Amino acid sequence: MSEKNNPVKTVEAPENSDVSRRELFKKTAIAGTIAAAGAASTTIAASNAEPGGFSDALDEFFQKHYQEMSKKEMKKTLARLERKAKVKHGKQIQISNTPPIEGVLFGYALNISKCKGYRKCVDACVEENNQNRDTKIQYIRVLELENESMNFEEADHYYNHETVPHTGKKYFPIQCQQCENPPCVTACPVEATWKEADGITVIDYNWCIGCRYCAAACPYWARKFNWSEPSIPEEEINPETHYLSNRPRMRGVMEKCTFCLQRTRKGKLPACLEACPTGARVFGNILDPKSEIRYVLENKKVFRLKEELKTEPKFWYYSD
Amino acid sequence: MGQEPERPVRNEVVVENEIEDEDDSDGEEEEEEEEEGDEDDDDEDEDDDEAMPWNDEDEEEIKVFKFPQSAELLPNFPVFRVKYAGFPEFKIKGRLRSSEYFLCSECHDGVELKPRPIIRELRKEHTNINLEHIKQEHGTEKFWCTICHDTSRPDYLVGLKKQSIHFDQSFLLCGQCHSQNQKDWLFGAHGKRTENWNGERTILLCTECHSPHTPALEPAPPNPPPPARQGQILVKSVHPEGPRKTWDKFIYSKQH
Repeated sequence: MSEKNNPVKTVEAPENSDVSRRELFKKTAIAGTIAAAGAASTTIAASNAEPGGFSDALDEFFQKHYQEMSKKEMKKTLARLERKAKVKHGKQIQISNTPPIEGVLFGYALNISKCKGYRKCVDACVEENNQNRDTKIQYIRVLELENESMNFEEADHYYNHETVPHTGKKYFPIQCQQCENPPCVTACPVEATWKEADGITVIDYNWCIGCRYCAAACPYWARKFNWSEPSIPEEEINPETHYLSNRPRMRGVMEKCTFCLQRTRKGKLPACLEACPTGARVFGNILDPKSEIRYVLENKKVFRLKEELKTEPKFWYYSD
Repeated sequence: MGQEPERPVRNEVVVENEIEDEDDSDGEEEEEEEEEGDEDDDDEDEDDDEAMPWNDEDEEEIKVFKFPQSAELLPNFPVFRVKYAGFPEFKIKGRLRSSEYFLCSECHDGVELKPRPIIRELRKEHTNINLEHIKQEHGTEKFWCTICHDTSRPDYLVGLKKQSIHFDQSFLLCGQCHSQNQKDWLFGAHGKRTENWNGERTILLCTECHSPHTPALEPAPPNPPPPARQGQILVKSVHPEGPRKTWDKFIYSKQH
């Protein structure tokens, strides 16, 4: 019983004096209920032993939706998540909350006649976005197709030739298409995923319940599920993260490509583009008439994947 | 020629350091000191600054060449300017690998080269140059070193109208034939942009990706494939050929 009583005691003497009475009452009441609930209480009590403390665990439980948090709450949340990440991964990371830039709508174009299938983008993405190294989540799949075919059912992304491009094959990288009309957002029952003002579909990992409806709804196989607790070697963790993008995830949540939100909102290029050795990728603001992507859209023969689904992707393919 | 003080400098400055030199002004100071010896590590002779007015613009960074926008700065390339008006302004980050090769002027110094018209064979220092581009695309009979390399100014390239072209402007040379690629490159559909998507446009020069003498990219090994998903892996003892794809299995099940 002493284990069960512990959490209640910690709440009665909170470290932060700015916790309102109402909040405190709520927490105490809930903690009491949980303590009475036996099995559930042991998990919370176990988390009490962590340096984050029981109040952190409660804060996480009561964390609001990303879009509903006030500035103060957001600041506290980010600090708590950083603390948690340090405990979990042993490394100090920075979780930013950079808002979308005004007047910017991100678009991507990919020259399929230049892509040679080296898969450099795939690995650069994994390094940048802190994906789980155990289950090897990869946001980009490079499909290998017959040279004169567009039959994606016969496409192979497990190709492993000695050298690429293999004779008679062409390569077709697919990642999140950042649809203007995203079916994954419609499918989400808890509104844990939404489209940002700059056109990027993002996930609030703390709000996601892991039902995987969005993965079923996505026609591009762009959403990946964390089947196990993510494990990343400490030296491989990218410390510059964004709340909506590459901060460390937990087991049982979805994740996806965000066009490297943490980089692109600061003016940098996505990691996949920087890694591409052939220069097949073009990224930019499609609202800017002088941008490179606009030149591609206006002067090249572009097409989008599965246009008939009316998802309106902001990812174009072209060839020359 | 003062070779004794210069040789050790070259040996000390390994490839890594020279890349850093591009951003530092230290690299230039070294070059100025060596000017007397007519041997520069990284860049062209500064005697030619008058003929190349765009060098004056970036005194601090010679390598990061900013493409001149006004007509005055482009006396040699009027055709080019008219051809693709309106491309966005850009900076070039070129010649990162310049330290890997020696300057032409170190050997071909001050003397006008007299290429032999008959013998089509690379000799001496030039045997490592692979001329696949010339052999396959253009034929060795008409196309030879001096089509692109200036005989009177060895550290410069030369265009078809006999205009000098800086090594950092090789896109003007390549674009004489590959005009569509040049246009795409200027506007951003070909080539690679670095550093940012929003601010000052910095793009890589042709020779950063293409070897000028063998421009086609060579096949290279890919990164490892993703792990096959559960259900796509077959038991090895039963199927010694290893994992197979769902599609193969589907076809297999149809046939048997």
